[in-house]
Amino acid sequence: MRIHPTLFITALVAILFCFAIFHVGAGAIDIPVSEVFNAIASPISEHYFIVNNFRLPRMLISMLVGASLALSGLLIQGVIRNPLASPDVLGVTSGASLAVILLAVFWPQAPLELIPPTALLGGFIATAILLFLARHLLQRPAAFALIGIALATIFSAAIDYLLTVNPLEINTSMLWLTGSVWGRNWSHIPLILPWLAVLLPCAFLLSFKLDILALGDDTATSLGISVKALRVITIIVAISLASAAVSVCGSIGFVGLVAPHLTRSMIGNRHLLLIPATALTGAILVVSADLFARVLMPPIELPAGVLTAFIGTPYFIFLLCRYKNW
Amino acid sequence: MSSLPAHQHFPVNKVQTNKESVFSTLKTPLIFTLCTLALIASLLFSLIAFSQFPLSLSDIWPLIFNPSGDSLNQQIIVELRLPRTLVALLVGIAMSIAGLLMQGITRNPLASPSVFGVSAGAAFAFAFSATGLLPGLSHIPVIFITMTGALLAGVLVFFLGGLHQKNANPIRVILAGVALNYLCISMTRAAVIYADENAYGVMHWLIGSVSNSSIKDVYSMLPGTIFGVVIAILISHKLNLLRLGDEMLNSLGGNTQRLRMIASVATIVLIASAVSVAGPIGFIGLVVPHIARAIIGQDFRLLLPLCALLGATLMLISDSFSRIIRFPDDSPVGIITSAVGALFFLLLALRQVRTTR
Amino acid sequence: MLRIIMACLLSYTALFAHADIKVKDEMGTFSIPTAAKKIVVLEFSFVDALANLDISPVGVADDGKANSVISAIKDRIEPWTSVGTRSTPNLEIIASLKPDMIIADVERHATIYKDLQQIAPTLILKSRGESYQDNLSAVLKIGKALDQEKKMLQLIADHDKRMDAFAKEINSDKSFLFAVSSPRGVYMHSPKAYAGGVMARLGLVSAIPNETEKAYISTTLERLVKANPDYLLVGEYGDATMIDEFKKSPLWKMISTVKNATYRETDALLWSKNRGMIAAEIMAKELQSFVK
Repeated sequence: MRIHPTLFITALVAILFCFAIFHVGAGAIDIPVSEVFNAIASPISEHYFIVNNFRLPRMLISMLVGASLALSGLLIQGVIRNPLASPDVLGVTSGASLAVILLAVFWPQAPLELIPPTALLGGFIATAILLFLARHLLQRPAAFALIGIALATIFSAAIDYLLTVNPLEINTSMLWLTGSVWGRNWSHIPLILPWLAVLLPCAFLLSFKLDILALGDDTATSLGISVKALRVITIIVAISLASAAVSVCGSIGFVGLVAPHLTRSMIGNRHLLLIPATALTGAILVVSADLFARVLMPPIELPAGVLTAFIGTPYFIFLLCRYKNW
Repeated sequence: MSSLPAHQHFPVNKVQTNKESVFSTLKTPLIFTLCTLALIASLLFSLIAFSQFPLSLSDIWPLIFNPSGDSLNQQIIVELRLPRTLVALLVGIAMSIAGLLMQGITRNPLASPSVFGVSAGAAFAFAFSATGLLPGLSHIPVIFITMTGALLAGVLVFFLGGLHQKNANPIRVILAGVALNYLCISMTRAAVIYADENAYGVMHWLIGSVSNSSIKDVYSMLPGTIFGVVIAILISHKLNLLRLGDEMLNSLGGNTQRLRMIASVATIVLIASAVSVAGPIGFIGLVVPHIARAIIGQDFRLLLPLCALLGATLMLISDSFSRIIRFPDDSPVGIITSAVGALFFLLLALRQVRTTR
Repeated sequence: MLRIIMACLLSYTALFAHADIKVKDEMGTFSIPTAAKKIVVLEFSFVDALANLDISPVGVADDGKANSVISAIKDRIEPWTSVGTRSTPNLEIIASLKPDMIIADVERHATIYKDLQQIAPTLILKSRGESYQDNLSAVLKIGKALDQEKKMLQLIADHDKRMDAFAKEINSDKSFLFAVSSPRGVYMHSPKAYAGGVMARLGLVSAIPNETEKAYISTTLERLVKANPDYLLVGEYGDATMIDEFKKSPLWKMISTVKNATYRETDALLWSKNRGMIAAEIMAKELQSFVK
């Protein structure tokens, strides 16, 4: 099924818009759709406080996180040409999580502001280790992903160890690990917005070269592209995006895996179009996940990461069943 | 170079056709003798090591002649240590043979019980019953709940991964398993958050532990393990053929689809019985078959017993050391197997990508 | 003239009375102009403290299960609105209740302290993993914050007297242990845990006196046999839990508490979740009847 790209992107914008409105409107306190704009704009509205302090920043963060993760997945898949590749698979998210849990265990009094930079640091260290160990493997996508999975596994084993030895930290860390947008507010937006603002144009700049890379390493080399440099740069951009997202909400799984697949199946393989479409799809996924996370069993909140798994797994399995070119 | 996996030295079909050199005829019995000795040593060690009670070997010898020893130390060994040791042993056997079968049928070196999502499925079933959302579940013994979860996850992966079709693609199975595994882990985490104050228990369950094993657990594990091992022995010859390719097996009158089906059933039963007693103990299933292959080559008829020996030994050693990390607190054995296994996994991956260049 | 002076004095005292209430809490200084009327609490131990002052919270993070609060406390206060789980309370519902004050737990709610402050002045105290003494000092801070310090001091003094009385009554040199049992494990509560603290307050010896680092300790039957408590109380989460497995072993009969028939099963909610003076006294009463 192929859809005209412009139509598809327009449709995505419309869907995102709808979900955004629903996200702001629905929840433990119900705001009618007609009231939503009024609640955002006018301080006299009875919902002004809730909307502007909780729902609006949460919705925006969901969007930014979703877009970053999806974009990160797209770039990684473009480079590694592996259907499994995503920030989760390469150990970026678990590296970031491990860093945060280490902080919580060894410096429990650490100011909370330190969590995001720690996650970012963890994500980068994980990537640095990956790039070091797999420095000869940049030409070999499957091998590269394999090392990534192995690293991710080591990080998760370390996380399990720390959580077992220090059980009191379980709750906070667990919540963070599943990826939750709960309790995020305006102060978290500067932690992710600048990254996206810088890295999105970078992704666009890389898009033509990535299209050529899709034709094969040899073709790309013969067209004068330094394949190795392209891979390294793209991976760094992708990792930064993923780490920034993880530093705000923890690891929200499946977005980086599903969003690129979905858009690719709809509009083909041109990265120039894939980039905005994937970012939008990712945003929709996380916004809708957080929406359902809040309305499924109020007042109890579920982590958005659980919901993306609910949305992502069936899609992924549908993908598996439909895919014929094994 | 001697530490390289054996199959990289020899042509693949050599091991099962002829063993001409004196070295290789002596090698196999020697390996099995050494491994059996290692198993016995680790078994004895596990029976007495790291206790708050002063247990020693001298407590064990009398037990062999009089199994109902009456001193407190002997009671501890018979009532607590022995079941625990036996469970660890059975889990080691079940998990490593399950891993071997899975690597055999998927022809993928990364296949292991956790990739199949079966352990995660069982863990979720337990965590869900612990939240109390369905009060009826608390009346059902844990073992049936986890067995159901494991079977369900296994069957799902089986069909979603396309193992019921002809020419099943190994990658598809892995993908289906990874997806399902992720879903189950996410849902388990949600259940832990929901259940809260009861979360410690669930956390232990998520990692896998044999601390509280009783003789009942041994009995509940035995049928599944024996069933799985017997099936594995029966199909080991065909697995050898499958390793050479689907066509090879089909041309020799085998049925790849049926073989994969049978092996999957055995795998799921093995994993379900191990997980329902000890939780999702990771990596034994991945690590042991690789070590075994590196030692003895590719013949499944030799690999099966060696995997059983090595798996049991590894589990026993891990369990012994899980008691010392935070002595006198018990730590779940799963954190040891995961930590060791994950490092091994990385080395394995690195070596593999280097040698298959 | 006298009238004017009187008026001045009155307004002065009125002004003085309106001066902010200030309490040092776990994350700085809590301050509120007047004692709060509508209070949202995010842990069970704070419900106990408020019930002691006969104040009903408007919202409680009760994990969606109002029955998690023991009836002795629940019956003393008005019904409340659930604000979700203790680990992730629903900020929107808290805001919609328009509270004058929020009482939060430093362990669980430090991450949302700023959000809570935006809704209402937030007193953030120790609750999760707190000891008996921690609880008393937290309770006193709640009293101060509500401008009822004197009453609270009196309540604590009364509580102390009653506990002293219980201690005298019980007066046992045997070793005691409380543990919770879930389907997957048994956890001993060390002297650092609340239940352990209550036992220590009653002058009882812990069966695991050397475990002073961690509050809750996962245990095997082997370790329980080693701890060998003379009195064992177990609170079960669920119907069939690990302790039932322990009971099947011959070694179970070798623990003093089983030999002496002093093993009891009790309410896990009371002993583990509902920390506070009311709960402590019920626990003391249980212990008293248990020893007799």
